[in-house]
Amino acid sequence: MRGEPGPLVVQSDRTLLLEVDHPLADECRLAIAPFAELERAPEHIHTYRLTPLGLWNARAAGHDAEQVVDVLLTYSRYPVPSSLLVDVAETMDRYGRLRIEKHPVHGLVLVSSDPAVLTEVVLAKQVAGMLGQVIDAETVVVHPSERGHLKQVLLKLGWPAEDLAGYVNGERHAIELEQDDWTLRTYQQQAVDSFWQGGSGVVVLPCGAGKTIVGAASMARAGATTLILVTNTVSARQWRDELLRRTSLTPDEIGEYSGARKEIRPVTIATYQVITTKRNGVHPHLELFSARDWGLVVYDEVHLLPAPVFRMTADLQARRRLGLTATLVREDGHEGDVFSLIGPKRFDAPWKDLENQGWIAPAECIEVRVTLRDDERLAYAMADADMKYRLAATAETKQRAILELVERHRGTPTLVIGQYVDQLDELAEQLGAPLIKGSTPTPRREELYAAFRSGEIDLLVVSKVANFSIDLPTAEVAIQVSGAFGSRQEEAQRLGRLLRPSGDKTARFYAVVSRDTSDADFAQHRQRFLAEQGYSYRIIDSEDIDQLDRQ
Amino acid sequence: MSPAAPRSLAETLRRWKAGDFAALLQARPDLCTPPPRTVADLVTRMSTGGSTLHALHRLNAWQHVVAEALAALPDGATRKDVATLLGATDELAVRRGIADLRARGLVWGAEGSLHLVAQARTAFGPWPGGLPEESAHPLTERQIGAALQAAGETVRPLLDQLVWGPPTGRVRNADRQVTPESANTPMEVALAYGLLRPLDPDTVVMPREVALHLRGHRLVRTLPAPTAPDLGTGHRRRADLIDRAGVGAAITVLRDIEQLVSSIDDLDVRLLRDGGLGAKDLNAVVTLLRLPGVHPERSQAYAALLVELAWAAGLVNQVNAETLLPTAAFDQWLERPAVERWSGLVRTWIATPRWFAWSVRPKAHALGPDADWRGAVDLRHGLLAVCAEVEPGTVVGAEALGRAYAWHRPALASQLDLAEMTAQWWEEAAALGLQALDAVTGLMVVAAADAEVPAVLAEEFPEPIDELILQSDLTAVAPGPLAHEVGRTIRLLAAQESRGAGGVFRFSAASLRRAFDAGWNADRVLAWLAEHSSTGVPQPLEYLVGDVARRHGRIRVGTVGSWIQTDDDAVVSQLLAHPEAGPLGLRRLAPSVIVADAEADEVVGLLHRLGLSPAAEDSAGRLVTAPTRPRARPRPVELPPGPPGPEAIAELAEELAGSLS
Repeated sequence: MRGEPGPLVVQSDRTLLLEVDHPLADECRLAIAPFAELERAPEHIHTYRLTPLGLWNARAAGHDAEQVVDVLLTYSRYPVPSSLLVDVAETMDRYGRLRIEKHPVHGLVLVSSDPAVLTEVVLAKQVAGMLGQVIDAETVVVHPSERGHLKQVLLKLGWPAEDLAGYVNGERHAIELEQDDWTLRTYQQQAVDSFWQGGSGVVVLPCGAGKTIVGAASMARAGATTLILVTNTVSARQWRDELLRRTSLTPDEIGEYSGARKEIRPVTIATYQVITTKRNGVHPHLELFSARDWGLVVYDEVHLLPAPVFRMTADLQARRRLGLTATLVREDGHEGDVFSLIGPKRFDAPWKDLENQGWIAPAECIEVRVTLRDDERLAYAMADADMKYRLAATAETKQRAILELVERHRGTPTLVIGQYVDQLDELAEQLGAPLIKGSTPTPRREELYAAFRSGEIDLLVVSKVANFSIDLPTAEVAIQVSGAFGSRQEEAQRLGRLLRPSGDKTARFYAVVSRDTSDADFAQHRQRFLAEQGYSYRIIDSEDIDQLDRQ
Repeated sequence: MSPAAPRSLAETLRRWKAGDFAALLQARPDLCTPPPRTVADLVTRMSTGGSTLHALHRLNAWQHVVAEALAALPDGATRKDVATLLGATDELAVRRGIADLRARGLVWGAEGSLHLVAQARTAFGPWPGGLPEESAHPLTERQIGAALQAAGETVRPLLDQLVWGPPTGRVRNADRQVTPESANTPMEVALAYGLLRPLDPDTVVMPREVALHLRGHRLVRTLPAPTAPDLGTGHRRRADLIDRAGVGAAITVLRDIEQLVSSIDDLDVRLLRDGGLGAKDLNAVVTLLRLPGVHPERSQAYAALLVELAWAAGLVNQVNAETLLPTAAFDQWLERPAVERWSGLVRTWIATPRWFAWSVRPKAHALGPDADWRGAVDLRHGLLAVCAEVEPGTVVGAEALGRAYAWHRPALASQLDLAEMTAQWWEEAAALGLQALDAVTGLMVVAAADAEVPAVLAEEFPEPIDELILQSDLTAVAPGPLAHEVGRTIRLLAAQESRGAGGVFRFSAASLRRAFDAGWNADRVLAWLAEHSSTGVPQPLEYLVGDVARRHGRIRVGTVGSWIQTDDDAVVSQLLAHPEAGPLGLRRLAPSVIVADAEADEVVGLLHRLGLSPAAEDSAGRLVTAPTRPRARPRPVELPPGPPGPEAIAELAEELAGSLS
């Protein structure tokens, strides 16, 4: 039956290794995307992972175990052990055995056509207090207030429930898309349709693929008051601008609920920060959730959703919820909460869009290793453990290399990024460049950003804490002098967004690192996650900077 | 014309042809060892109680009930008698049942006068089918009907107790004189009407004709089906996909055995007093193989199976009666092609007189005595034979197999929990690739016939590769199973992150340091990587190797008390300033030498904690490298001989037939 050996190697730890240069790689990628999560994408072999959540997401999207098994058998280079296939089938079979439905007499009920499963669940300690009267062997009453918690617990018990109980309509509010100088792209329309059909859930789109537009279109479809939760104020303003541009909403209809302003309007944009603020042990801004009869709740960057918001979301299960994100992977492992509280994945962008978005080698990364002077090494060696990193990261020897790098790229938009303010102060002075740090007032920041964007200035020193990455596009060179740039792919994607060279130039990301210190250890983590995201990576000695090609 | 009917079993056999003998030996393999020289010899052996019992145990449900019917009938019964007693309407089935018994040498004589051999008759006990012999003066049907009516309902519970046998009950003064008028108890009523008769002063018996009347003239409550129940569920899967999934499991089990045995000395298992492996050590195997934790009991059973197979195949042996090490046979085993390794493993599985699943029952241990069972070999053979009857791709499932096997071996089903054991066997068959997704694979057929793996399946076993894909995230990916030596080296240079059809390995300073400790240097590492990489050596990896090499051995530690030598002033200062310098007795001996009162291992500990990378030196100044891998003495593998193959049987049958002429 077989012609050429397939592109996929199936591992017993449930990872799938995809050989990207294989002629069938693209076809295979499309086939496994619905049920496997892309974990790493270095140059030759991409790693996907099969997880129960991924398989349940696939089930929720209408794929069945036979299809998954067939895909694995079709594309696998080697015979796949039957135990793995059995496992896949058994796992997928667990989704939807339990359903949360509306009963004409008893209200919210948990239903199963498999009485054994229902019994197992009813008897579980964890569901105590969530379920009410047992109506018959297949039905048990659910306390409406526990709808979300119950779904969380059922997921943990390995019996994720399908929530078919429907939603309240919420307060009507007409919102129209105004497609005068733009149109909804096909995949954006598909994303909205899939979300609406599924009721609640998450749409996965890469940065720049128009998550905000999908949000706006979903609001138009709902035609109801909407609460939008975003990561920070800058992002809140961007949402507001986009909504004003793409929809019939007027400035009066959109409120901002942040540290600075507390407006509640038919469409209200709130930051995670303000919601999670605690005063005297309570969350004073919880009122927001009940302030209006929201018809739709939108969660931006759902992979960053903080724990308190999850808890509040558990009480919002009767309202439609749309999660937007570029990745389902969370650093805190709360993927399951996203699944049970926001909903299953409803849409995933095709790979080609991800590719255009820059998953593949969007920038060239060069780590420059600096050898510390003997006195610096001695100081490092003698320092207390908690001071070591700082000493290594801010070593004076780094300065020469940094100046040399800046000099090499003079005339190209360049950012110098660091963690320690005194180091940055010193650098800014030596380079004669403006500095943005935490204490820089917002107007001054916006002024500098604007100057950088317009090309008026081509060198800017920024502190990492200034959270610059949100709206600072089009640098061609970034030089990290201290601090880890981040820890995982989300940061790598920000890097991809930060470095957007015009034309066919390649952006450069430099990290200047002190050899044989903890600075170098951090660098190794960075190397790993950047390479895993498909960035090319090289390490050179600072003495060899002059051998680098100019751009 | 046919000669006069034979008058004994011996005479019957003397008229047999080679084919008849072959069929006999096939059905009663115990007769093959030692090989009988003459037919007389053969008849003697057949006539022993042991061999006859063995033959009866191997009868299927239909054959068994036919034999029981013959036992319940007087010697010289006819086929028609048998059919009547069974209440069988299918005459052909009865004829076939008798023929099967003839072929096994259990029945002889003409159809009109059948003889069940004496030992078989004995084996069915005094009341075959729960019936006594025919009465000297049997009651007629009409008499029985009248007696039952006259005795009334009160005797029914008593009669019900005896009707399906055994037909006797103990009663004091069974031979008392009672009349219907004097009868006081149901027992007396039954005796008075002749529904029961005294057998001796303490026993009553239900006369055969009464029992048969009450039974509706049937020998057994439910007549077994004359043919084997259908094994398939009517559901089929694509045979080629199922075969691939089966081979997938086969490859996995080989890989797991390799991993287990290679690492068994690292596991540091301690054998228990009964020679078995404790639960903790078994869990260590589960962890080592990173078996999925979805079904812990399944993972444990699988781990135990691997340990058992590695032991039975002689790949591991015990050292000092308490720990396990790989044997030299393991190294040879690794050199053999995967298909051969698989075949060997399956043979071991079949022929080991242990029921592996019993080693994970509560209080039992893998390799422990609880799993010993001679019958295991026969049961596995039997199940294999049944499964091999269906087309590969047929969905069977453990339950259907259990039901079917209970028909094939009713004697076994009455002694053991066949449903549970079949399920255990079915799980093991999946692990070995004989079934996949509950469907029989082509490998099942191979295993049942002890045949060579056909090319179309053998091709699915992957060839080992010796090339790696190196990536700049410092991983090496093996896109397939690695040749053993390459695998061993890459596991030294890098830490394995993912196992399966391929492998993912990650390089780190620590992993490379380990290689340098084992005597490698940067040039050798890079040359090896270049040789085995299909994509070159990525720059960051090359840099890492150089960087670690540069730092490695910059500090050397020896045992005098112990000493430290380094050219690095910063390190000297760092060491001397360390709070542990006092307790360890560190002091500067020369600008680049520190000596310590402490033993070298303590000093090395401190250096490691400081993130330094010392190299150890022996008294002659040579770098001390890691020792070679230890091996246990070979363990001779002795498996009981399996049943003789068809060729041996044919040869023996020819010989027997030849001895007659």
